[in-house]
Amino acid sequence: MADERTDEDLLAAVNGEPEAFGVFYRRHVAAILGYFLRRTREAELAADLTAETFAAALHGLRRFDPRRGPAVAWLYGIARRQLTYALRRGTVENRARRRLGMAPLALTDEALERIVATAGDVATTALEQLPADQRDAVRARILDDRDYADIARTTRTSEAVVRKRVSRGLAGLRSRVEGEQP
Amino acid sequence: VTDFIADLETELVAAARRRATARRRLPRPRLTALAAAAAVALIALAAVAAVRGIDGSRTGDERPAAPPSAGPGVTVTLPAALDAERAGGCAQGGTGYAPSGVKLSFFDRPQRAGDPLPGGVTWLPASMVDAPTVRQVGKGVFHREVRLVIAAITPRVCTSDTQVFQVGACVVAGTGPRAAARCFTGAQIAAGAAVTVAAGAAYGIVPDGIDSVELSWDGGSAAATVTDNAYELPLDGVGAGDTVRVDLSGAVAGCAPSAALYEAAPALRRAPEGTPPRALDSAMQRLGSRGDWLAYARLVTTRAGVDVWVVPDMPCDRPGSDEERVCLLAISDGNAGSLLCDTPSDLRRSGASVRSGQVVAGFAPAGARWAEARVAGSRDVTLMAVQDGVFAARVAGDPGAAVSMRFS
Repeated sequence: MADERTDEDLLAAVNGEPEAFGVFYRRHVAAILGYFLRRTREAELAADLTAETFAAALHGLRRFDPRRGPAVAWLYGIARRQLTYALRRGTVENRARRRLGMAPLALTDEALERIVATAGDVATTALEQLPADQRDAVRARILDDRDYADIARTTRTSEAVVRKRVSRGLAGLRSRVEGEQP
Repeated sequence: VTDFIADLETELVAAARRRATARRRLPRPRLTALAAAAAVALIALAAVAAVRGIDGSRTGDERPAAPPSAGPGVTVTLPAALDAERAGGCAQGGTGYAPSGVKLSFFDRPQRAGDPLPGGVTWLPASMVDAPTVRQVGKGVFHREVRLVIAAITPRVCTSDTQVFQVGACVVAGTGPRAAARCFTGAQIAAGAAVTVAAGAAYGIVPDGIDSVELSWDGGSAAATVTDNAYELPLDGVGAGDTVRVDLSGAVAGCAPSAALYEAAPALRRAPEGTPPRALDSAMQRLGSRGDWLAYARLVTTRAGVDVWVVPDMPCDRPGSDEERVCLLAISDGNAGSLLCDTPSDLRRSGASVRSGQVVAGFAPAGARWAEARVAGSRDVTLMAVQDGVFAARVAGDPGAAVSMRFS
């Protein structure tokens, strides 16, 4: 049975209940993998970036402040930074994984193919299945990191409407991605 | 879902367990220990205060902050001062303005009888003038009566749009029918570009900490000592409309980029131009900056027609940060991209880039003259000339796809 807690509640519980991070991870791993796959077109790089993104989230957990925005936006912020670093330096950072003492994961060709099939399908399909206004709002705010005022200006709506679309879009994404997890 | 996803979950949860266990093992100090630690801290603070003196200036054994630079100098075309007696001016009164990102203390002393603008001066080329800040400066030093006043400057004189302005100052030289004035933004003052020509002399405004100014031009140079944030320099062989280089000497007071930052981001050496857009202001506010960057924001319009704003992100301007960075925001067709920030050392070594929609922009590494952008999944390569260390252009291809950069 799916855990009903919000992302923010899960992150708040990690110190006393480490498995809560596993739940948070399962909710978002496919979408994050898909995010990296679409931008890098390389499954191995996407997998590496995904591992470092979640490790950085775990390592920097105390810096997450739910008053500043939803946990998923914070997670995508970390993902964007990892991607920027990788594109700029030509290598994926592994600082968080080293600090957490995580073992490197070996990737077989078969695993890489399954990552492409699974992550690409789940994340892309989930996003595409959203109503157009929510999909565009989530893309602009979460994936392109545009501010609400800017999105409101270009879509000729109010900031409140954009916020509502992003919030509903994220909730829809979460339920769709969770629904496709085995 | 896949082995990788399951294996990564196992690793992450194991790491979360180790992290939780380590946190539980952290010793909790007892109250008596805390009291003792507080007492030790107080003694240490008292010792530091005794060494520093009460002004809190730094001692030599602390990690030095990047020293602020007097600036790299700037080339300006000398503007003529404007007739300050013109009737029907539009500057309105306003008070409480703080100059944008530049420290000026000429008006710290109380206003005296001879300070207010002379009766004949009825017009200043600004939108708002903070009359209580008018001070006669350099009295007994300058040959003419010179006054400075804090003012709000808009891109166009006499505009009613007070939403977009920078606070700076005006210099008024002379009295009566020969009085002339010019107003400058905080950015122009910080750069040394706040200089005008009236009656055969240059009159300028500089920030606190600047001791002297040197003007040089083709065939000559002259230097002036600064008094009360202002200087007067008789000119010989050069005048309004001529191009001069202005170099400031001294250690600029307040928050300013270090020499290392100027070196890593040559765009910061450009003359100030235009007013930073609202999107840049919003982005810097989100970073937590207080606004001192405003005086150092510089605009580079690339050959591809994309406006690139380059600004310093300074620890003195952003509480909580401990490293100096330089940031960039590209604006194309009125749309702002994402803010890109990086440290001088990383920029010099490998450069940095950001893609926002169809625009790619960034800093080139030291020595690079060309930047090539290739969008993943596309064969097209966009070649960009590096201008003052930055590049920007529109690129074709999937707006969501990654862009790889090469520099030469």
